[in-house]
Amino acid sequence: MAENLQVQLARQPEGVPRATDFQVTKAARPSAGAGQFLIRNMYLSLDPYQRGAIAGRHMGHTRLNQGDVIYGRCLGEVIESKHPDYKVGEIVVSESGWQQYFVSSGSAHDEVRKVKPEAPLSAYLGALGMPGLTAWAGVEKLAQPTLGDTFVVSSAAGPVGGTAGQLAKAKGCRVVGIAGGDEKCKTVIETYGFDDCINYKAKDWAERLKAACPNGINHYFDNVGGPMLDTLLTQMALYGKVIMCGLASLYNRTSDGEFAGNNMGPVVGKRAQLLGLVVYDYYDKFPEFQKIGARLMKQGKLAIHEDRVDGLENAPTHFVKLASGLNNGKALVAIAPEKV
Amino acid sequence: MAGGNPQVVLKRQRDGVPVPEDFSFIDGPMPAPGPGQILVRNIYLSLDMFVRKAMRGDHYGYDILKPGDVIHGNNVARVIRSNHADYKPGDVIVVESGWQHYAAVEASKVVAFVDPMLAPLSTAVGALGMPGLTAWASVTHLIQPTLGSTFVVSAAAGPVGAVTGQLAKRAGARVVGIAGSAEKCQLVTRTYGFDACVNYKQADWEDQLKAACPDGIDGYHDNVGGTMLQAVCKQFNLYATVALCGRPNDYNAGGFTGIQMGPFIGKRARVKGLVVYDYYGDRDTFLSVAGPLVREGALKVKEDHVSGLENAIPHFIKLMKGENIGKAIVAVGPEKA
Repeated sequence: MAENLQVQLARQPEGVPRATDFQVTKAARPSAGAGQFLIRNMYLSLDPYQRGAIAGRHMGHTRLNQGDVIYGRCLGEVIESKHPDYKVGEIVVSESGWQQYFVSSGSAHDEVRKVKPEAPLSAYLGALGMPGLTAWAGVEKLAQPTLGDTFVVSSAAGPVGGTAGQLAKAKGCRVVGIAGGDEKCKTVIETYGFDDCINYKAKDWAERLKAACPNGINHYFDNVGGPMLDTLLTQMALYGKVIMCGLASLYNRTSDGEFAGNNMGPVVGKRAQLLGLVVYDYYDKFPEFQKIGARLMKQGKLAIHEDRVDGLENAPTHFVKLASGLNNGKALVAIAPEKV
Repeated sequence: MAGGNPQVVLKRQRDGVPVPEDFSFIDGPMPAPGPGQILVRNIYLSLDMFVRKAMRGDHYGYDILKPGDVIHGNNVARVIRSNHADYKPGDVIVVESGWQHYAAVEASKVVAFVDPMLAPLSTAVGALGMPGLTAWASVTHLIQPTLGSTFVVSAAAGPVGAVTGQLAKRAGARVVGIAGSAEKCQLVTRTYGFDACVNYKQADWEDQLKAACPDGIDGYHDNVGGTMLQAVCKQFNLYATVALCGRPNDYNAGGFTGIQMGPFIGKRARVKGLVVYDYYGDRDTFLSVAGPLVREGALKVKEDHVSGLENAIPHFIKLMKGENIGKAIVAVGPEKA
């Protein structure tokens, strides 16, 4: 019998997840029923928000129980179809979960989106996927930086931060990244082309950031929240904007009381604007963004850096690496070859 | 040196809600204006929450007070003598001239000229002064409520909150206040004309707020910060706008109450810091809107007056405890020249 390798929850993680919180199992490979189609997944996207989703802390995701397939977005190919809108051979991204095969009816819940490949396929889970759309919405719709502005982004080596910074750079900003380690900073400067990058694990990172942003920070694309946000707020230029996109520094927390919250004092003093960003609001803009993103890639203005492993069975350890902040670039699992 | 200038000065620096023992009421020296300075006689002293942190040197442009320093404060005052070409004896101005009867000040301390014909003089530090300008900036520049939207104001009985809510109401919003007693709420709904007011000292105030905002909250003018901001956020509609204007609890304590940003992301909230000093240049525009409204009684103001500078001390403590109702003012001296 044909198999479908899956990764399921073994138990709810406490704090930073461990590989033993997951279980790799073999289910029977499904086939498409009436009104359905079958996707063969090639790449699984690993994203920081999945940590919160597993615990039911992320919007639209209920807390997982033991035996549930882990939430995750995959890029794959339609290999069977009894659905009028999906043809065999089409490339799609879907909320398939961590598994090799996925049967969908094309419901809203499955969030199936067709991809017209104009770039490497895996990019449609990163710089041209949801992370890229997040970055584009934050830059073009919320921050709207102008020539010469200073634009700072945290988690700069990741696909959201890396793309946000490159888009801001393409718009004429001075772009400074914040990342956790010298190797990540090297990626941020050498691959993504940021003007500077600060390793926040250095003791004097706040002073270094200040030196890198002598005119103050006009835009802060915040992927981490927490104490770092408090520090950044003190370095904003008057009327600066903070795009509140993620709270990666808090995703592994075991209780809400672990972080006492941010100080709003500097928000008033700097006349800052804090703008919440949720990418789901911009799904209807996906085609527009992907066209622009693919063009920037061809022009050499949007580079990608991936951190991949082969084989779905390695997804848990790769996710632990991501949740521990040890990955460098877009975290991906290559589930199966693009061509079979 | 001869006295003749009653003053309230700092006796000691400490954190927390102020107590009478933090102040001294003394007879200070009569000042003489130096070159370029003006001598003013204070008429109405404005008591404001920000003064608490200004005393600590924790407010833009104010140095920490040392024992013996006169307490910071804005006054409606009359120019007595002038060594500055822009001011002449008899002019009425709003000026940072402190808790005292007379002050010799640099022209840079003058906040504005007051047109004595526009409205009662004391409104120049209330509904037509900094609190009113703050409210106007919040409504017309930061929150910009749309017709039929729901607009919530905390510290609604205070001078900023009262004007904010009334201006938002004039702009076509449904306006709900939050205040700290049934008496304050009565003022807010009956006198200021808000659609509803919730007393946050009642245990179920969040449920009451929800009931008062059946369509959710689109705009929130926050005079309080802290746990109330966090609680009000729960009832935001998507893309709600928040103007952050004051944090009196933080002013007393000298620390801050942390805010969890997660819910603000979920609501796609737009949180904006408001500093009234940015809008001083718009004062004439503001007065052209609010001046006639105050004069005609269309914009209601309630002032909480005491007479005599020595009473500034208990009146300020009352303000910082949230026990006053309306704009806190001390009548220091007569209006007439």
